[in-house]
Amino acid sequence: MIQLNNIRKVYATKDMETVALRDINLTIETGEFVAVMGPSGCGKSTLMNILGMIDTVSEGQYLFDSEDITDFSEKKLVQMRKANLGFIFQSFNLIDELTVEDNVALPLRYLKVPKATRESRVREALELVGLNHRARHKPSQLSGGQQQRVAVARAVIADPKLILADEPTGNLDSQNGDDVMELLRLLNEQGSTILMVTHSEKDASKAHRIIRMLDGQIQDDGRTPEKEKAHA
Amino acid sequence: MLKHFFLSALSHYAKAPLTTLVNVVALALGIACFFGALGVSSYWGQSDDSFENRDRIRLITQQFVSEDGDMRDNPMVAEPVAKYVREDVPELEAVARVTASDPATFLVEGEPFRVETALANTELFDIFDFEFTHGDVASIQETPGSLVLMNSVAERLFGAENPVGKSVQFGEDFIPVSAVILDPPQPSHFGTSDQAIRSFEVLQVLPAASEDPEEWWLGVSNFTYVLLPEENTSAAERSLDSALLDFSERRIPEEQRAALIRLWFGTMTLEELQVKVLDGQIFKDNRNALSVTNILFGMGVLILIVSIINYSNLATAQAAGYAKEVGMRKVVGASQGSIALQYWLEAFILTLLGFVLAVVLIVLTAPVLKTQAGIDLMAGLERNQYLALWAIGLALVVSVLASIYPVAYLSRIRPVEALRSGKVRGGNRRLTEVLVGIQFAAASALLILVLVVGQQNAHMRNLVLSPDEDPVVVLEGLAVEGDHSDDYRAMLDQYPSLKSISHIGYMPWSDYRNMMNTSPTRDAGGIEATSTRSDIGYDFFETYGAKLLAGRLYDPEQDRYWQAYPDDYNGDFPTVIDATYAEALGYASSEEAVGQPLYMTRQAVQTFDWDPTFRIIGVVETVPLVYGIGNIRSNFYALARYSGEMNLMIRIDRNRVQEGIEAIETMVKSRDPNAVVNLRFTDDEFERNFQTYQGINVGFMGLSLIAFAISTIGLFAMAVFTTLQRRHEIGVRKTLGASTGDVTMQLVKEFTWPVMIANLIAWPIAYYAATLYLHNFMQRMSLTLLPWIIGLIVTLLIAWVAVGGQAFKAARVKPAEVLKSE
Repeated sequence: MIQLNNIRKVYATKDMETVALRDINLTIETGEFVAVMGPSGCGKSTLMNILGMIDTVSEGQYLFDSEDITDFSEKKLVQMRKANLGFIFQSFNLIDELTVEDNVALPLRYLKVPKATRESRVREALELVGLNHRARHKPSQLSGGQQQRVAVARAVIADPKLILADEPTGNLDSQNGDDVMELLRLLNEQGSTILMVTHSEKDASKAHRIIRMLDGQIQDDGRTPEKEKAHA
Repeated sequence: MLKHFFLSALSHYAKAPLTTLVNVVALALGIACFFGALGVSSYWGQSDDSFENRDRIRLITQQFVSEDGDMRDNPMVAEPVAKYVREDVPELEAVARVTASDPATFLVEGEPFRVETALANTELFDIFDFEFTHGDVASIQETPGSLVLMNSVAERLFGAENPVGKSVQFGEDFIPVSAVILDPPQPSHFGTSDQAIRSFEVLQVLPAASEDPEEWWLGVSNFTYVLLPEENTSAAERSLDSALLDFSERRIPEEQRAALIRLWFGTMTLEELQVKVLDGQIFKDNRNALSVTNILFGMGVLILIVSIINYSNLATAQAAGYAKEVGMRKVVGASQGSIALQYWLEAFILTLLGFVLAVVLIVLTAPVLKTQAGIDLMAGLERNQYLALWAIGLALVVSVLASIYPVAYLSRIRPVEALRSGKVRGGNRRLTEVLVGIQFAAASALLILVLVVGQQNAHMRNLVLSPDEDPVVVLEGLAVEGDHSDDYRAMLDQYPSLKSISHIGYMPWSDYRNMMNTSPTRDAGGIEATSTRSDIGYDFFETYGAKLLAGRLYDPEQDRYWQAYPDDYNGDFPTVIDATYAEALGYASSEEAVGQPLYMTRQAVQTFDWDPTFRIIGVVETVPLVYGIGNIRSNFYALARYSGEMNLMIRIDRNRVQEGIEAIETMVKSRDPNAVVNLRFTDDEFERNFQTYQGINVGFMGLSLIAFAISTIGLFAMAVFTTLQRRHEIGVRKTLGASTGDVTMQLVKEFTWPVMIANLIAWPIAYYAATLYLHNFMQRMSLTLLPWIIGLIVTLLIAWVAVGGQAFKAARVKPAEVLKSE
């Protein structure tokens, strides 16, 4: 599904250049659950942003579904993003002024899905995360765990090929964190491809594969012990 | 601590120089408009303060409600008032009357001069201490019936010579000049300018003792002044007020009072005179409800409020950026009071800067106002004894009001929230929308009003100033008695450049008020309608340019002047009316009106002791001759001529204007070599009289545009801040698939609603104000939806331009950049 070839990302300011990613070669297959780990500043989020098509590479090639999107225009990237990707953030990134259902429906609005279809899919997505009864609430009226479940519902509603989760449990207590991880596992079982950035070994252990990064490079790319066992 | 706050304020200004500039400019405009309004009303209030007795002088007013419309607070009264006030209140130090008189032609050493004249009692000089250049009060009193000249006229008539002791010829009489006075310093209601309320160039002075006025109370052409005594002033004023309470019942004959619904007398100070007369000119019969001063003040205050709202909104939006700073201050012990003081001080400093800029604006615009409108704004402000108090009070009030919202917002910031992310939301978005809405509602209402005023003015100009028509001139009051238009008609063939000649009893576009109230039936309860009565001669319609719609026009072979009928005449008076009057009288068409009778109302019959039958012989199109009088928009044309001076009206061939003017001079001089040919083009008269409207309108338009500009600047700055604040949300939306266009549209749409709602609120307000304005005109344009639609489109376009650019800029943000900063 995803192939990154010799990716390099440089942030340049007037005074200096910071290399955020170097020599990144990575392939992610459909149906995989990949965790990306590493210390702060190692380039996890930059990699995530590039995979999520919200940032561009300085060098290298990005193939999505065998299509080279490296030099896509902003307009084309928007089309690709809304059709193929779902996002979950550490800080939820729900829009405060919108209700839960409106937040969840947002990707469908941008896909110009008719209202009736939108409503039924919002109901399904909220049912999936167990928050149908909170549909008319504003994000500020929910707990952190609930807010992240709303974000999960929003990420899956457009039935994306890839879900990108940036430290999805980082702002949650352990119980809520476990609930969210369980949701991600369930989604993966149902066929979603997931790439998750995390600091938590426990959360990473739920993935099929863990990529460890340091100083903008991939240090290690291997299957988790459970998956190795499963493979064996 | 204050120094610290001051430095902190400076650092905030430096961080956002554009916003600071916008705030200072908007506050300066608001403050300048407020003080402009204050200065103008102070200037009018200083009227006649060069006269030593100003505070003890009262003007008697005759206020009445007639069937024809409300004419309250008229500073002119009936002739007998002075005589009876003198009798009723003997403690008054002096009572004087100045009577309006027609312009007269004087001969000085055989050379004719036309001058504005008035009649006055000698007591006028006891009341007003005019400055004499020649002669004095004694020389006036010694020469009853003599003339007192204004200095400027004395120079025109006699050059550098002393005119006292010399005479001027008026008709067969020689009248001596007893004194020359200087034009009173402006503002004054006396003077020789068009703006002077009681303008005169020459006063003919009559001794008080000779006064034996005609007992006619329905004509008002006199200014009656009284001088309260220096001692027991209040008691004398009470006596005067008390005498005036039942003055009309005691003094006016019953049959004359019957013509009026209500009549009563009162007094007015010279300070009030200027403003009240101006109100009358501008607002006609609405003047008790509206006042130029109040409206000016209202607009000044409105603009100030708009600029305060502008500051509040921007400062609150800006304050979101200081959340971390405020949170930190609170953590280290700042109280809500000290936060409030800091941000009030920030507003106060900007208000002071606004004051400085406002002073510059006032100093720069004052000379323009003086040239264009004759109002000395600087003098008005300089002589306002409470100016310093106004300034201090306003600086405090403006800064407090402007800082309430940002202070309230900052005081509520929770340190933990502010310190965690460094940002909090910039105030309540709904409240911000409401405030932007209020700004735009004010701006939109004013814009619509400006459009209506502009349209109506253009409508009037189009009606009157048609360049493809032959010009029409009016030859004001001929020097010798009698109407000559019939004689001159015979001479037309000799002067081919002149197309038509007639006469009219007044100068078109002057402040003429002579009304005719008639009914198609003698039965009580039938339709009654009021029109302006215009006394005209044959060929008037051809001369002035009014097309016949039905019936026929006045014809010398068939119709006689009203004055030619014997007193006991019982037949019909042939009458021409205009289409508007025919409609008001209930006729479905002009044709239907022809041949129908018209009768005077029962009250008018009783008052004038005359019960004629007017027979409508023709209906003409409605043409403009005067501004509106109350609701009266129609004309009743009486075929009438007086023994006094009449105005000749002549249509000149538009291709031979100069030749035509020379022909008129030749024609008039051939009949009367001493006649002063005082020609006035009707379109010039219109322009001259229209200047009051134009001047005031330009002022109101200027103020409206300022309010609009502040609102637009405010909206633009709000758009900058709102989009900045919503960068994060925009990032999220874009991550979820929104395109730049989607986000831009979303932001523009959100700003569109307050502007749309503001327009809806503004519409009825603008409609009310527009109908009040149009009420002043006899020839009103039809009020269409156009100004409202244009108002909506313009406000929306401005909002879209202000917001669209910023929204587009914000929408182009890379989501990764925004989300990274979280």
